[in-house]
Amino acid sequence: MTATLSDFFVYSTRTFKALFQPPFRSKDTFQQLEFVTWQSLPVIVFCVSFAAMVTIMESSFHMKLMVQNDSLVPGFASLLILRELGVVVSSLLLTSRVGAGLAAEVGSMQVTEQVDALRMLGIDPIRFLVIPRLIACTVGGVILSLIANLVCLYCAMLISELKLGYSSGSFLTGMRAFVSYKDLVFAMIKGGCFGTVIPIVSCFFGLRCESGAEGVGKATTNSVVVASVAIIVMDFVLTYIFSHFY
Amino acid sequence: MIDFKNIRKSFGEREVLKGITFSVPEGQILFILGTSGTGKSVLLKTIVGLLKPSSGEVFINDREISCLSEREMFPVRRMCGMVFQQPALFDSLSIFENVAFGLRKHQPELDHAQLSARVKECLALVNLSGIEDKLPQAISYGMQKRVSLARTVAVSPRILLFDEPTTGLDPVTTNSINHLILELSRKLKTTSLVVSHDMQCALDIADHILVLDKGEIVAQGPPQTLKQSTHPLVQDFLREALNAETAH
Repeated sequence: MTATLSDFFVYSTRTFKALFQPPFRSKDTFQQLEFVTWQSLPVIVFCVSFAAMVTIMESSFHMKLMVQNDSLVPGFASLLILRELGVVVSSLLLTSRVGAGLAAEVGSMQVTEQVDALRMLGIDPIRFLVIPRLIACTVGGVILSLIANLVCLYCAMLISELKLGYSSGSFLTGMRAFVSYKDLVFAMIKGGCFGTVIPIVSCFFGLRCESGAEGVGKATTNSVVVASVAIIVMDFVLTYIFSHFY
Repeated sequence: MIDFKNIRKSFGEREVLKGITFSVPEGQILFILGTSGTGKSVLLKTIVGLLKPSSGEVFINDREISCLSEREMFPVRRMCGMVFQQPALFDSLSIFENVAFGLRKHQPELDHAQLSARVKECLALVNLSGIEDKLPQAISYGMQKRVSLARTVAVSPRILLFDEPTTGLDPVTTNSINHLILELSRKLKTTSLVVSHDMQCALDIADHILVLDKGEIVAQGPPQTLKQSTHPLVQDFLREALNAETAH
């Protein structure tokens, strides 16, 4: 365990150092960005829409139960969506889709000696494999958190109009009372941070992958579990830090 | 000249190499034979720093390389070429791009025409012309192995390392690869280290043979000397080679 943590520290340090060293593989980075952002968009939009709809319906149900009034639901739900739901749900989805894919891809390369072949050709696997994915996931995390939040808010507004009877105007008025532009900015920062964690953790497990199909499977599982836990913990830390700025 | 001095390598509790010492003079072909799991591939990977020995020293042309960092290893790897146990071709790149990959890195001064000519020359060397545009998964395993050899040779290494180059290949391709190793080593005057199970091939083309068992050298010498060895493992290998020859 200590050895793994120490390896992870060394690897992360090398990765962040390599981030600023040319050559920058822009073509690969854009290809990865397309994979991370565009190809993940449908599943993220679909899932966060339902999460937002459930959130607003549950909030309304419980508020009516407790205080016999759900007039504050648009504001509260918008706050919850912007600060937590949109970015955390989209990041966890990104972990299972992109993180698992990266760990399996890099793990297969490790097992089939492609990583050793890169090293033999004088190419640093971190710069070649990790950096383009790191940049793509960080930028993708920011973009997806923004889109996820907007979609969530739109769906929440739709449900509050169709099911709870609030017009879009009153939803937006309620939302404005609770939400500020800072919430959106902090959500995007969180998205970028979570996006950074995913490829770092996934590629770490991929590069340490043991031989065989079992090794690749183990690397993939470990990467998804560790990245998900890291996102939840990081969410707490960032929320605590941001709470000083409201 | 490659020198191994008392190399030991452990993975956790398990010691795979137990104090290996030997030398390979420049321009020679050394075969490392042994049963599976005796540390042959580990030994080969310590030469180029893909694995670090737990203790001991590796010298290439009198320079100690086992203590070098990853960055310091690049020039050492620049003069070595390694054909891995698996083809290790990059799936997303065409055969042309795979062979050109190392050339682009090591010889950036080459223009497209020169690069293209060099790639074609290397593919012709392994009898694979006209497949430049295909992806690795579109050709057979044997062809992938030969492309891997072409990619290694393309950067003109002075030391060639072969990790079971003929494993999983049919006898015809095995034969052609073995002759290719001999031809390349003689033509390019490289020092070659070949990890193999094939005693017959070792007797045919090696200058020196080293037999490993359980992480230790149990016999070594030129093919003629090794034929006289009384060690049971060497005897087993020789019997196997004789059987193979009789079957042919």
